Amino acid sequence: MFKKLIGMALAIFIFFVLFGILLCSEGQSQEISVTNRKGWRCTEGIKANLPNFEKASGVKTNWIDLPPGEMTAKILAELEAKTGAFDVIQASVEFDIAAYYRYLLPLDDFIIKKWRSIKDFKTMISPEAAKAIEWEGKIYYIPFHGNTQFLIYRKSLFENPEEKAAFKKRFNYNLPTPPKTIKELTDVAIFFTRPEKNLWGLGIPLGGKYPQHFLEHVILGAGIDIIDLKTGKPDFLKPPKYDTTIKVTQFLHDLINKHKVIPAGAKTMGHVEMREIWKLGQLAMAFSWWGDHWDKLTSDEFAKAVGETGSAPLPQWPGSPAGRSGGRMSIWSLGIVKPTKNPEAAWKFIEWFVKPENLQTEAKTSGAASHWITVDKDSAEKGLLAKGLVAGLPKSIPPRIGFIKEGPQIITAFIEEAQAMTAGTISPKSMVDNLGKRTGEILR
Amino acid sequence: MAPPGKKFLRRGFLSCPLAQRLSMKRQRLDYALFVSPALAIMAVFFAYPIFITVYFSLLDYSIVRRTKTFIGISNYLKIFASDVFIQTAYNTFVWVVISTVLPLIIALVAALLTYHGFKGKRLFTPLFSLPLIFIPSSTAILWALMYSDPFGLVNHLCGALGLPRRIWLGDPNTVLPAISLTNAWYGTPMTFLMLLAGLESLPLEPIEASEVDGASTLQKIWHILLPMLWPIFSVVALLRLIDVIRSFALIWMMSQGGPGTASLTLPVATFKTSFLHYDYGAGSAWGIINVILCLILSLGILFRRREL
Repeated sequence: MFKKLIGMALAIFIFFVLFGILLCSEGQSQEISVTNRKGWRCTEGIKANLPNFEKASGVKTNWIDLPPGEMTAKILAELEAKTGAFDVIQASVEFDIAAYYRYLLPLDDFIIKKWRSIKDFKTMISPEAAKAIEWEGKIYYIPFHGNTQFLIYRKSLFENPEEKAAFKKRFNYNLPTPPKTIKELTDVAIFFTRPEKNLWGLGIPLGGKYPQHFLEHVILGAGIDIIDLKTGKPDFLKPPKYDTTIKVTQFLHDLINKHKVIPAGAKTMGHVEMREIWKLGQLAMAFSWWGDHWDKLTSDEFAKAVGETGSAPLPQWPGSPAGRSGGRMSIWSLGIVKPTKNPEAAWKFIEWFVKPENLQTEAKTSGAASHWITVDKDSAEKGLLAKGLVAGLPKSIPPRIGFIKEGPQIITAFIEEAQAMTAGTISPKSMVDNLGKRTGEILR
Repeated sequence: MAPPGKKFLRRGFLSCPLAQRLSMKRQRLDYALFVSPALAIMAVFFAYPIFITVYFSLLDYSIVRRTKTFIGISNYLKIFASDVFIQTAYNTFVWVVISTVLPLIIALVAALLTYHGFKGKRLFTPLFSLPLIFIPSSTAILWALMYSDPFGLVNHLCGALGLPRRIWLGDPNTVLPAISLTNAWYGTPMTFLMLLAGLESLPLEPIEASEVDGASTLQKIWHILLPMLWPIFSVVALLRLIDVIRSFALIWMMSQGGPGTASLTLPVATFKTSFLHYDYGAGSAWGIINVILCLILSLGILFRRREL
């Protein structure tokens, strides 16, 4: 009996020793977990290059794809629970910095080591991205993806002499290619809307969060913020801005209900579905995040279906500040989670991820910019980026809601109110008033 | 003979000799030991999450605002006072009624037909149960595509029948019925299989006796089968009800509670508050309201079982 007990104790001891050795050896190995937006065309090319990184650096990388709609929630839940599930996270900085920064490692030391100084680093990326990645004087992110919504148009329709003549006859001025004012945009959209021929003047995805994306783009472009960061109060409720916000909302409402230039099905569509409608030749113009699809839109497959596609920024709202073409810039970036066991390996991954060849792969596989000035310039010269994006991105700004802690609630309220307005449940004025009321309650 | 009561057992236990009493005590200890692993698992995986959610619901707990302070039942009061709660309660009611009643009626009719037997019964049962092989997310994608315009099958059918095309998931008036219909499609096979199993477990004697007495098929169903099936039917209905109240994936994937709050139900409100607003306190309160609703219905099932 005693011998048996001794034997058992020995076996347990050996098991724990072996287990400990295994744990220690795991701790020493260079292994990191990184998050990625599942199915994102922009990072697919970079993902394909991952074996090269692993081979060169010796860092084993677990690439974890998370569904876009749940990505932030899942990452934040893991970070809050301190599970150590991720070492490097991908985040849409313009929305998430207020939520994330306390879980992240300041990158200042790494940046200084790599690019000599923070100042030098900041000169390499776009000014808006340089502002967005910083929180309370420290840098938490390295950007890799820049995008803004822009307009695309079917060149074959706009260059058709018969169409040009018909437009001049009806509106008394030449068919603008592309439209440069809101009035021109509306006229052109009305002109090309021919439901009997399954052709609509303007496609705007209006499903889910997209009505809010459109409104925010135009409102920010008009020099109106949802929140004034200086006062911490709603900016759009200030007298002249309040009227403009209602007019912008009314504009979208009219495009849908009065002019009926947007296909009815757009109310449940995202930009992927809208792209398919474009391919069917049912749209003369379309506005969305085309930087994620530019390679497709300019592919032979699409050219065969609808001819050549042109692009331009959305016209500015009348009276907008000079130098703004619209707002709603996106700045996707990489950050290192604070309790990571391998900060050096995580940084190696980020360094590799933002190498010019990888960022240009992103431009090739989707048509998105990177916020890295020289890379984007080079990509634009090579024709990898749409003219609409090249012209629009530097004049855009990220939404300011993400820079305050109540941001996520205000964004949800904005999305809900914009959806209700688009669906016809409430008027444009009610939408703005409701948003003002809800924003006030949230801020209180 | 009536079963021995507690008093009788206690008296019996005390009147036993000491050795026997010790043996009984040990037996009880053994039982407790056998049950303890299951109890431990229950405590870790069921009791703890519920306890922690109740605790969170009493906090102002936001990971963005960095607050974690005790505020009592303020989260509940805020929810009950909000317009969103009224809308959510109404939506949950509509969602539950359509998603529960429709599958029950269809499944009952299908189960009665299958029970009676008809040509092609063998093919009908697996075909009718086909939606069971889908997971909720693929069901949501499939039906969202069917409801879409211009690609969707539903609008093509409407066009063929001379009915107006609609943006089913983009219209506040149709979004909830449309998703409820999807849920009914998804939930009918399971209800059907349970009811069919219930019908097949019924004693044959009363049915045969009614046939001898010359009862028609309808009389047999109305006076014999349905009353006998009722206890099983009510349990199936309650199980379906709880399943519907808890369900989240279909609504989230098809409309995310929109447009606006037109299809916001209790589980969707819980998710939105917790993971879009990052307000774990209020989100937990929404979750607890949902749990209480399910608990009331579960107690209904337990009482029903006791009656059986």
